[in-house]
Amino acid sequence: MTAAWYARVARNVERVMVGQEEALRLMLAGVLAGGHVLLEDVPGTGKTTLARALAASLGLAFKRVQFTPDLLPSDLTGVNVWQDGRFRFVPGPVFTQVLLADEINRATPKTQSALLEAMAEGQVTVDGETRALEPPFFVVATQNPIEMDGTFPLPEAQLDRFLRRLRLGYPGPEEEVRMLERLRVRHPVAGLETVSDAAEVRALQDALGRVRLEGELARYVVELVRATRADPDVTLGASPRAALALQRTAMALAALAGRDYVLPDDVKQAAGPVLEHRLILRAEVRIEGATAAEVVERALAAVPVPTEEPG
Amino acid sequence: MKALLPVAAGFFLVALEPRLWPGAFLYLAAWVGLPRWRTELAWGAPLFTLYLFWGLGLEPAAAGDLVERTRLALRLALGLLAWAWAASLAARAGRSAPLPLFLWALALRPGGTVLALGVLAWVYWNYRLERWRYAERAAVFRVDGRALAVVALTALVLAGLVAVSVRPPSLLDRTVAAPAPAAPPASGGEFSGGASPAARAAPARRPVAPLPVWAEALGYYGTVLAAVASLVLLGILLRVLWLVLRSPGERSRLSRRAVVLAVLVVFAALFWAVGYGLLFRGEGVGGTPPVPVLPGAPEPAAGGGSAPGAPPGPALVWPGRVLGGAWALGVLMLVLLTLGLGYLLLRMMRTGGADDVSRPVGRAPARAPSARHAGRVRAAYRAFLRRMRPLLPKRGSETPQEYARRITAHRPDLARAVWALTRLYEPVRYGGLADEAEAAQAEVWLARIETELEKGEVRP
Repeated sequence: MTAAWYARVARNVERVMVGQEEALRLMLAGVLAGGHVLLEDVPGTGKTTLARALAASLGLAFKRVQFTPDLLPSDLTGVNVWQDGRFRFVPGPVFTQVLLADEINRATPKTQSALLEAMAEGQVTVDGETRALEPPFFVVATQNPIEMDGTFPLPEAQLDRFLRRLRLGYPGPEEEVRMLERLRVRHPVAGLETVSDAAEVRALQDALGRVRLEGELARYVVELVRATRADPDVTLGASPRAALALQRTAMALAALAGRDYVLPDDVKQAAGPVLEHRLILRAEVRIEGATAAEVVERALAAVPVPTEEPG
Repeated sequence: MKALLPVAAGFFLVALEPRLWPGAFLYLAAWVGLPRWRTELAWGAPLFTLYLFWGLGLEPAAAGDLVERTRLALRLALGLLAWAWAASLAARAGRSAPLPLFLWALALRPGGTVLALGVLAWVYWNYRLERWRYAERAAVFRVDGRALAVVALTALVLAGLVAVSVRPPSLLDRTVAAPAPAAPPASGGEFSGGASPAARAAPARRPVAPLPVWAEALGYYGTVLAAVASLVLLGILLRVLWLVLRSPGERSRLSRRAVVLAVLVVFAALFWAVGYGLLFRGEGVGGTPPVPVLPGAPEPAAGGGSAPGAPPGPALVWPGRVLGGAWALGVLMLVLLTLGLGYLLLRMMRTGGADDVSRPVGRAPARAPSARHAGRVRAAYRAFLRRMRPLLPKRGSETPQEYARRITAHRPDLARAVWALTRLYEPVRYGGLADEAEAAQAEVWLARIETELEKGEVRP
């Protein structure tokens, strides 16, 4: 069921996004896993288009917020206004199902943190009153890794709330040609048809719990996470929340592949996007050019995959 | 199917002596009912053969001697532990696997060196014959302590059956055998060695004290248990009948092994029938075969041995009394089944046994998934890893798919078989159970990989 849904959505999104099948798969795994995605790439690679296309295909309410240094928390969450002799709550853009937080690192940490409660708990508290967000709630945040002037790096606590970080990258030459052909007249994202709905997404999220993760694979997930903590280049390794995210993402990838069991390949595939953005490297190795991706690679190469012992 | 050979050998030998029927039935029942353990059972065939010799060497009247019974039970338990040890070594593909059985046989019967050497030769041949896969199945045996617990339990049951099947105490006259001067015991003075029953010297008799009440009661229940074990034959016959009468669509799923086993059972049953007086009133094979006593018939005072002047044999009232009514029908059924199974076997031989192994990967399962079949798939994959180890060992951090990709890059000729085995293995290892078809497919793909590798080895 999930695999058919994936095929349907992927086919639809590919009408506007060319050559981003892997990123789309990981994003849809994020939707299923109930996690949020941080898209990190240079401008013009289709981050916003992908988020919009996804929301349109899934039939989910979509809002976009351009994060700027002067953006206030209440601009996101909403505000109580005095009207007709009483306070009336005017919901902010966070009251949606797919929220595109464009260039999230341009807002101040205070505003960024306003998203924490929404991302972690699916609710927003304004003036002491808590309001639930309509599930499924999915944040797609983007940030530009090159242009750092006037930006505020996301705090670790918030980075940890993102299920995974994705990089879209530039499309290949053939894919770029296809993109030009498709977008010759107008951007077709507006005309994208809806191929799913919120109820179906919720049902698929519920069904994810039935995907089997074998006991030794769960241990493998934990060993991977622990290996990042033990790496000498790392100041702060992946958290237990990262282990949860890795497990859930692997389960979602298995479901998208039409399986009801997780393979170690699912875990390996999910490891990079799930773990990299949660690792903080030591300053000296960062200067030398070491990356979190290398740490994850080392962990993957060091931790044995549970298979058979040849004896 | 090659693993059937020891079973067949042991089975036919044992089937010739009625006192060993319970053990034979138990062994056969284990073979039929515990297919996952067939390798262990096959490894235990020499032990079973020794059991035959013990049983034949034990003087009938000495069966009432509890010391003798205890010794026998202890030796049998020791043998089963040696068997477990050997199977465990075999699981690691250790060439020293025959050693425990060899040492055990020597320690048990110093005079039976020839027999021990035979055991050694047999085990080594078995090891060579089945090679990786054979050892692989034995690996199941060493997985956990449960296997050893079952072995211990089996030892107890088998020892108990040996004790009671030699002769029920309640049926003994109160005498024990004194060793005849012409046939001194081969070791320890208890048994006359691996001679045939006919060659055994006649024992002199002397009166002994009656057995305690509890021993009598134990003997009685043991007799009942042994008789129940004999009834397994009827169950097997029913199973065979069911196999033959299945619908034509299902019949093709019969594994060759099942048919061979069924034929074996039928022929063995015919041997018993002939040997134990059903057709010839006790004039068949066996040195001192007892005459089955039908209900209402006067109990014979002596065994119907073929040797003139032989001493009176034990009046074994079972299973004739228990099964006597079923034998006539059984023989008729045996004849029909033999013909039917012979036909099926012939058909399978002609079709190359492509009953369930040639089914394409991914087809709907033919039988209910089970952990046993999953064990077979995993065992096949383990054997594959072992086979590949000298050429392209799997790295610890590699997933099965990554490993398959690496092998494909190095040996494109293996690609199809390796990917097929990997795709069968993954859902079993990470998803749970497998069915019979998947298990058979995994073994076929493993065999293909082995064949390809062997071809590669001789390639210049």
